[in-house]
Amino acid sequence: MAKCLLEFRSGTLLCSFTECETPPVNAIPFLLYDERVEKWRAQASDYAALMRALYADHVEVTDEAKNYQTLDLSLKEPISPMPHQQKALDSWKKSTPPGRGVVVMPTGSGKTFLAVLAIASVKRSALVVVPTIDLVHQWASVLERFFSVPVGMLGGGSKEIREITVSTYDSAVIMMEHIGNKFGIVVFDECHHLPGEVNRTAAAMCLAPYRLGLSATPERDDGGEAVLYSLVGPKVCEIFIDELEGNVLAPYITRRIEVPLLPDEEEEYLAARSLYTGFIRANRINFSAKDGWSQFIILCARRPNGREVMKAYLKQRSIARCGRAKLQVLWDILMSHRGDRTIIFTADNDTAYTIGETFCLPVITHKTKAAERKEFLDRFRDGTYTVIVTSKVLNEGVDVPEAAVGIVVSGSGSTREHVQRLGRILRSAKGKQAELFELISEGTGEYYTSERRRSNRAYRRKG
Amino acid sequence: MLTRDLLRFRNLSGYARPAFLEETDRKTLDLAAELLETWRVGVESFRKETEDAVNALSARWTDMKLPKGLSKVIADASRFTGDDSASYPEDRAKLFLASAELLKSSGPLAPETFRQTVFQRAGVMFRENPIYADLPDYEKIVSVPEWTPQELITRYNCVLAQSLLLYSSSLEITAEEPDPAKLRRFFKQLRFLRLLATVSMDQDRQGNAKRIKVYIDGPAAILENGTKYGLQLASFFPAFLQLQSWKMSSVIKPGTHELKFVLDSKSNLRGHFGNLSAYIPEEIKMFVSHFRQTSDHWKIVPDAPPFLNLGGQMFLFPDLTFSDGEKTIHLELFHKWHEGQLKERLEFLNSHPETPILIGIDRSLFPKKEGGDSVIKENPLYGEKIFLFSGYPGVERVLKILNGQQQSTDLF
Repeated sequence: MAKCLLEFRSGTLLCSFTECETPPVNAIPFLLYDERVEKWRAQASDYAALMRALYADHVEVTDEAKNYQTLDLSLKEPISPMPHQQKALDSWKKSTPPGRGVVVMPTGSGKTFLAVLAIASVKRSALVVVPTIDLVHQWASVLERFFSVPVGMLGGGSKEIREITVSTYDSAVIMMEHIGNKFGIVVFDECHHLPGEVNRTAAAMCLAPYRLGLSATPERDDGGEAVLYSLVGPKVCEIFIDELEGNVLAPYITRRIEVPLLPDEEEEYLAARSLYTGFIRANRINFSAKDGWSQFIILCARRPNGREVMKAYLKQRSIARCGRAKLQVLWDILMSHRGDRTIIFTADNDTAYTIGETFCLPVITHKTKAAERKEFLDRFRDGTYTVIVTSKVLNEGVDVPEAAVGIVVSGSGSTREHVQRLGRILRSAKGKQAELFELISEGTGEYYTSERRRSNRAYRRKG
Repeated sequence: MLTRDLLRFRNLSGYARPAFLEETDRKTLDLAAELLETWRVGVESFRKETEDAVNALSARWTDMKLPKGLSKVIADASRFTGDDSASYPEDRAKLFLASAELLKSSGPLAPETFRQTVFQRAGVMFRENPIYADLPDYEKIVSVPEWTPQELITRYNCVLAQSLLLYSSSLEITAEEPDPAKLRRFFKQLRFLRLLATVSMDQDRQGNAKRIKVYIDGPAAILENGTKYGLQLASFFPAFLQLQSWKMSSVIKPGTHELKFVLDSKSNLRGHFGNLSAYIPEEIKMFVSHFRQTSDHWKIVPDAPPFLNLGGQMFLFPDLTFSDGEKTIHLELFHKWHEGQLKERLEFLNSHPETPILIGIDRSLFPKKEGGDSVIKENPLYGEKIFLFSGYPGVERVLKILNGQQQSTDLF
């Protein structure tokens, strides 16, 4: 009988076969001969498939790769899943292969609880991978509450690995070649981050047979969702915002407000815009092309008036994103929602800080230090602060259950970003009516940007 | 490292040609001097002020990537601190509490009135600084490296090549290096960075080692051709700049297209590890001299291969190689600082006792109170292939072991 010694090495699997000249036929698709070490090597993420293949080939396997435990896990809080959560869990368990797949659910619909159910059902050492430090703490506290076990954390200075561990994507990428065999189930929260060239190694170097991806918007502009489905499993369940509105999620309305520029700003905008668009036309730059933007930058550096054009581009963008008229409308909305928990979203840090300086408001960007960020969020959650300004860092993940009003002062054309921003204010609360305002400068390119980002089903019947 | 937007290279027929700087070009030296001075003047001031000054200076250049790239190299080697002279977070907290209170109250408020009232109620003053003046932009510069303009250019050239290698998945290096100490450093660095190497060696007509060829990538590289190991490969780059003669070839993907990236020792790039040429300790010189006087049968081989590839990513760098005309035996010495490698080597030798190597171990590796050297003396190859010494092995001891090799080999 053929024998195989399976080892976990540097985020990969090394296989040594004895009593057979070549690897058995079913295992071959997963193996490559590595002349550097004179052994067969496989991707760690193929562990489950490889084991099945070796089993099918009647190979006697000495498995020194797997280093995770079967846990005696049970939920300490007896909570029944909501129907949509039960449906998602069942779909994941019955997927092909079982226990691997991506669940698409809106923010606020209980993705975390679904993950808790999945971990409880497989009862294996578990790793949850999340995009930010805030989420590491948030997930760790939820998992500790449900399972009554200490939870390890990786990232933001913490380096503690336990049977249930939560890690940032960054730390997972760095650590996975050492810890990728310690978990039987891995959960990727906000899993649309996973297909990135670097992040994907966190999934590839982990041998966990059970995998769950969670996202409200898994599709990517670069088509990276194919990588996601190959590393985590296929999309097994999709639930839309409007299916849960008024029941699981708060009822909501979206309002787009077109704000006319002030006369002097309009004049300045038109002059800058004309210089910039003239340059684009003259040089036949196509921003729809993949390299359109880099072509614009290169030509700005090379052409004699390039620097002036770049300044004009920045000027017209800054007026459209945050002109004085927009600030006034923003203030009017704040005045009409005094006391309501409100998040103001911007496309860039400069605009966020301009609003923060102008109205003395707390701003959270990637530049905000951890302690102050925590203080801002704690005070926002407990209602001490009612308004918070952010650029993109609160688009996803951070739990701000009480927010009822969102004001998009500026944003990209990304549908995902817009759906995520809507999701921030939809967590259900008694009597809550969520409102998402979108401010766009009238007669500027912002209109088209807004049209692009509103193409999601969640906006089609609203506003 | 340089960020993608600061990379200066051209695509010439599918080859990436980095725009290295001439260390003697007057204009470039003046720019380097001006940038170093700008940063030095900024010590104890806000980082943003210096960066604004660098931006203004850069605006005079058609290729702004050059001054900005040089400035990035300086910034990466400088030290900064946050502004702790002002209690910004505390003052901000007071300000936001006042603003939150006022926002919750009723009655219409104009934005300007609102701002004034908030400041009055909070009782804090940010004076001319914005309320977020402690952001990274406002970090203070603590120190700037004491480089000459020429040193900055040397560093820049090395960093530019390294930064391109961030987008590589593997490296192939062909090198000629007669100095085993430099090769040892080369492989040690490779191992430190957890890279894997496929090594082959060319020999001249006399059978002497001529040139090594090393293909370097990471463990998972054969499974997926990504740039996961780019940072490690880039970090490895200075390790082979020290070699006498080298040629590097790689494929990089800094944008949408793959490009070939080739460099060699004629590029005149220099690393900043300092001179790593072999230091020959006095004891070894004395050993060689004494050995030559004492032994007629065994000779020290002067031009032995610098290393042996034992397979499985294990390389042995003999301190001395001996020959009696028929057999060649290598001696590797382990001192206190080689503790980690010793265990691995002993395991190898025990499973491959036919390998023509001797292992000498300094007793200082084994503290007396922890059982001393008994673990070595209990090894089945002790006395035959493994021996202990204090400080440095004596010639007689080594000859005895070598002669033992001869006898045991003669038995077969």
